[in-house]
Amino acid sequence: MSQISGLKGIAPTIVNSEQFIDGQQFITLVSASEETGYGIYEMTFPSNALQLELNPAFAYVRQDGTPLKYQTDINWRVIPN
Amino acid sequence: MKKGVSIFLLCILFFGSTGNIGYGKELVKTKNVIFPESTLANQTQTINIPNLLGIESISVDNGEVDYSVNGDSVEITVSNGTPIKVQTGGEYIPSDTKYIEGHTSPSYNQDGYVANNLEKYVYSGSYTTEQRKTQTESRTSSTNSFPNSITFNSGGFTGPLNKSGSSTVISGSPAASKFVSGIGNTSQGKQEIYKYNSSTKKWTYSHSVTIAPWITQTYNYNLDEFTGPLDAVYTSRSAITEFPVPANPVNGQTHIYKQYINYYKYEGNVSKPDTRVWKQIYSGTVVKPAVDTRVYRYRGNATKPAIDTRTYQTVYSYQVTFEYKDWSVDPNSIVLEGIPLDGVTQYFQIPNSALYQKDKNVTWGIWIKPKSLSDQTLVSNGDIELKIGNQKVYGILEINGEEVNLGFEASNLHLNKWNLLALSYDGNNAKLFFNNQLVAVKSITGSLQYDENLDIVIGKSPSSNASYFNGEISQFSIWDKALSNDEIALVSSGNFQNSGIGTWKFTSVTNRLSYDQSVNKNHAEGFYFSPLIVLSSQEVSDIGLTLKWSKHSQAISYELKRGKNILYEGNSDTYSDRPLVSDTDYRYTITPLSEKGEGVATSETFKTAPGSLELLQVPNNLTFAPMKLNGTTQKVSESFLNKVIIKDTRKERNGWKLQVIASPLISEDTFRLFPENTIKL
Repeated sequence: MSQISGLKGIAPTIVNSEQFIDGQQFITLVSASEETGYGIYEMTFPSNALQLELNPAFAYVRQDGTPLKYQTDINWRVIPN
Repeated sequence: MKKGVSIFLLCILFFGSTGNIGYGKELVKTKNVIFPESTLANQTQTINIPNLLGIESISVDNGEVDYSVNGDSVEITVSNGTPIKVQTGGEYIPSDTKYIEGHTSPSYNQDGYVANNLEKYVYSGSYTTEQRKTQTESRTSSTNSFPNSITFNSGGFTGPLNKSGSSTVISGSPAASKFVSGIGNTSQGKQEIYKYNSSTKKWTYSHSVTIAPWITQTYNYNLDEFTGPLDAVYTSRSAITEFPVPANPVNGQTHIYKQYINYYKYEGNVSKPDTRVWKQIYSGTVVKPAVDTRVYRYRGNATKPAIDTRTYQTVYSYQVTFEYKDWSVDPNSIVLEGIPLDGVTQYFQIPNSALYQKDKNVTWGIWIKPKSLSDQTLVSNGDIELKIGNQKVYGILEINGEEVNLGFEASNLHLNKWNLLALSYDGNNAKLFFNNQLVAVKSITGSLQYDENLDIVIGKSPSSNASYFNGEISQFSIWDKALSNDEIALVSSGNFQNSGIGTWKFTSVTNRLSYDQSVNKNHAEGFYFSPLIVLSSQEVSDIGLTLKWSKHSQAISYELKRGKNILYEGNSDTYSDRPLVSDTDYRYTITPLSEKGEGVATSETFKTAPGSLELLQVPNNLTFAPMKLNGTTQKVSESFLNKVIIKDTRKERNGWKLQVIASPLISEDTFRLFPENTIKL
């Protein structure tokens, strides 16, 4: 997480890493407390940041054995404290 | 300034024989100004005469002339001149005449030659006169009906012929009718048919039938011109042949009983037509008209008119002659920069300093360009003073406790021109110089005194807000010596050396501060001048703005401040100030700078735009490579190719959170769904 523009500010805090994000609630990745996070920041993800843990009980292919595609929508948001 | 009685040990005033003190001779010269041909009756020319003092006389070869003088420029206006007609193009070709004949029209217009009412003449043919004769004619008709007149037209003669006498029958007879009979023969065969009645046992007549020969019922009579249809009329019957009746007839049986022939003749009314031929004689006078085969033509003179394609215009041309007076020698051509003082509020002030309080060997010099000769203070610290008062120019010194005045007639000053005034004292002589001339000197031994102890003020009284100078000032110097005549000559050429203990050079961009060019750096401050440039803002955002200011022609750089902090110094006219806090007022000040001083600053307050909290970028879509199931829980991962960019420029810095959520992993056919806790970040 680094600042790229704006008045020099105190960088926000990365809450933690490696969380499941396909639950019922939004997961907080970064948190900027009062008087921090002011300016323009960019967040760079490490390699292989997005991970799938596939339980074979739910991984289906087509009846003829050909591959079946799966997809998900990832929603991002920034909200004030 | 103390009032007192000057002690005149020696006073010499230098004036030229003409009463003018200038830099040299003032010569009267003549100049011609040509106004070339123009369609404008009113014309204006502006000419520049370096070092012009004034116009002595002016005249024009035609019309009227007027002029106005502004510095070295003379604007000459001419009007009401005599119009001149000048050819601007085209040519004139004279007329030509030629004789024509055989023309078919009384008017002629060919190849530019024109004629009307040409003479008519017989070109060919002849004329035969009219002939008359008595003519008799007859007409025949099958009826006795003739017109009263007929038209004769033969051999070229024509005319009406009238009946002559009554008509007569020349052949034929009138119509007639008669009855004729016993004409021709025809016959008809017949059989009588009987029918047997068994009850009566008798044969009785039943009917008859015709048999050959067959009768012709009509006959067309045509004899001796009589004609008409005749009908057949029974005349006699042949012998009757009877046939024996059949034996043992039955009831209703028929039997040819008799057979014979009837004979006929024709008779009837016939008629003949009227075959008479009538004749009528006509007589009268017939005329053979005159015959005119003459052909006429036209002849005479045709004229080709003159052709004039010349074009003209009316122009005006003037020659103006005027006599003028100018300065004839150099220093007068000096061009200096300066700053105007409005004569109302504006002035400069140089802080008082012990450096300037010399008891002798001191010179003050100042370049001025006055607009009027009214009372006004040029420069003064209350003890040394140069001013205009009572139509005189004064240099005033405080020596030995007395006020010493040196002066000359103010009319010698050149209005709107640069004039050097210098005042010196070397301990023995007080001198007043006007340009390169020593114009007044007083011998007095003693010391200069500085009782007033005031700041040096240029452009007004040092002790009150009065006696403002209206005009321009260019340079002011204080030397710690009494300049020699040669040094004054050098100074009067515009060369103010920075050798004194104070030198200030004024331009329009030094209206806030005129730097002391000497080592003492005792700058002169300007009062009541206006800012010189305009400051504006552009591209205002929540994190910054761009400042833009107008340039001043004499500024070499600009100093930009935000609050008290200098942001920029250079010769650009823009500056981008960022980062800044959103929705916040910032006060900026821009000051034009030159090597001679600095101008009145311009201050403006600009406000940044309201800030926002927003996501500027999130990762793009990514695709996992196809994987092969192996019957166990498998982990696969991919890398985001893009960064997340968050902007928070809100003035209210209450922090924020970046959050993410993924929908369950679902098959493209939407029938298969992975449970929660499959996607990890």
